[in-house]
Amino acid sequence: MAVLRLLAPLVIAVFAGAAIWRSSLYGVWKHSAPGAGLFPLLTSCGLLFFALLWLYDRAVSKDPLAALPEGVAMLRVGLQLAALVLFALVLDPLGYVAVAIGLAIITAVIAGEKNWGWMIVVALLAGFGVKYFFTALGTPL
Amino acid sequence: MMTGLEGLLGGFGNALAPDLLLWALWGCLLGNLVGVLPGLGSAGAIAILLPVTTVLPPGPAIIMLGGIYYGSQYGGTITTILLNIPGEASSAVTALDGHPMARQGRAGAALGIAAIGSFVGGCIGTLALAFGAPILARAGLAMGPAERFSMMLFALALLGTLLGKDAIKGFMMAFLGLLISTVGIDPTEGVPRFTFGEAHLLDGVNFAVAVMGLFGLAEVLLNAEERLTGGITEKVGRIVPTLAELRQALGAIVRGSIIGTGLGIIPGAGSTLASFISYGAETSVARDSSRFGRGAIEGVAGPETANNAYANASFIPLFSLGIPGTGSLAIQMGGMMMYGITPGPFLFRDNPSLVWTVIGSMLVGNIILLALNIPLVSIWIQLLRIRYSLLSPLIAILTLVGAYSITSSVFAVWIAIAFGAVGYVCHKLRLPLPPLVFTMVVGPSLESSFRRALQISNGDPSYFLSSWISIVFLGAAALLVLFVLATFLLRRQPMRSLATPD
Repeated sequence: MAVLRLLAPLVIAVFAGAAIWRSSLYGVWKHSAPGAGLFPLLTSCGLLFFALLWLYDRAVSKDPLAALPEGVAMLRVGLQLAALVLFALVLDPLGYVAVAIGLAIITAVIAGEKNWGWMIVVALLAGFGVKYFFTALGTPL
Repeated sequence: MMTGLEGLLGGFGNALAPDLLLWALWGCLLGNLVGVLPGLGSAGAIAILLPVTTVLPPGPAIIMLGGIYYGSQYGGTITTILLNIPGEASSAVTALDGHPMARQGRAGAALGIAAIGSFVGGCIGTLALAFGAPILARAGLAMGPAERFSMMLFALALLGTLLGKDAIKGFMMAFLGLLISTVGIDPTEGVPRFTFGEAHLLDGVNFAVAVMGLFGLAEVLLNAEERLTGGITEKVGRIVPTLAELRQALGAIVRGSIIGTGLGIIPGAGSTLASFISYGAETSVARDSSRFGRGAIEGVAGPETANNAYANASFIPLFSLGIPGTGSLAIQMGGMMMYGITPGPFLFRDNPSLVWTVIGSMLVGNIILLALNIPLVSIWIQLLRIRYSLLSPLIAILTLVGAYSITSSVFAVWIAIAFGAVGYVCHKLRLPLPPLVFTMVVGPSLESSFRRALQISNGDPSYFLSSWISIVFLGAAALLVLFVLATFLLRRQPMRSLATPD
């Protein structure tokens, strides 16, 4: 539990540390003027500083841990994220309409919809309706 | 530069052109429609609808964006009163009396008074914008890069500090946003930063795509977890408030307008603070404060007026100094920049016709909203009967397609999904998003002012202390940060939160 409490600030602190290292490679100071790396370096340092303060706060705080999803709820979030990733992966090979209909049905099921009739209506709206709408706006899908 | 009255009259005349009226109407309608969706909030509504405006020329697009902004604000009120689900934190206080009114069968009166209060507050906020912003912009024009950098730093410090007990996390998110804003080719030396060989990142992280993920997809993930539901009020009652109700609410509307407009000028104060102060003022001036929380009409009129007065007046620092006070306004600013219009002191000088037309359209938009919302309430109620499990797929698809439409590339879809996951995690960890969005949008101008100041001074950092304006802003920013650090480190007592995200 203690590890979980400190995990998020630790991840951000490590990320900030990596950004400091990377920024220094872009050149911090050149010919009495700031280089491309100075501003990212300063912001990464600021990020690291406040991430460490948050880490300290989490370490000494008795506040309850943020309400992380558990069990089935966690599974639903994971499935929803996987569905979004799948959408991006197969958008080009399968085309917009098929992928959008699939994502709409999966999202509705994850969100707890049980009426298949309405689900199909929404899926068709998401597929054909949105395609028509954006094509009319000048973005062919 | 034109005077406030000349500009406002000219802008109002321009905004009445049929095509612009139509775009304002569409904006209000779409904003209302998306704002009504439970839990989404105005930032989410603007983020999702941003791509819809991309096909328009800058003027109509910005007018439509403005319509979406205040349309979504009122849409959130409908959900708050009828479902007891505040679309955003600023509406939470409206729920205290608005929902009890709805349960008493007076939902119509609550919605009606909210529409009237929003109209009055919005108009007063817009008038303050018309007369205040040009004066502030003139002061902004006199500022050099050092002063501009110091001013933005001060606004950032203020935004973080006003997050109260979340200030440390707010500052952390602000620095994260600044870091994200540096991704892409460095404008001075042409060095690619944090692109890791990915050509799509050379132009940086697309702001609109990022906010669509942060607000739209994060909402879909949250709904997957929580399966949002709400019990809709069946009996709405009369929509137009009675004369007695109007008389009862009049004082609250006047006080709410003053509070909202006054706070709108301060970047980062937040509409939440405006609505809470207004509610506090109403409870303290009421003869019988025990009515509050049980359906007092002033408890709806005051906060809703303050909220909308704030929404319009907060354009003052945005248009005159380029400082967006809230997350929604930061998205609005990002949208304007997409059309090549940079809010700031030069806006009134370089694009006077456009800016006055936009301000004029705000007045028109307020009238449209009032005219729309009184007759359309029954339609919005029908919309609220649609199950969230059927709306969630549409939000997901519109967000993903919206992201795709901005760059016509699947890479944007990946960025939206990544930011969606970040937005979800931030929500779970109670990390405030407004500072992140704020710095993502002002980051490039903050860096540019910082570097230009150092270039002018041949790298001498004391240049930032060479003018009184800069000294005052830097000193105030330092004091705010020290105050937050001292409170955090010495007392370890959480400060009372003054404002919650947007």
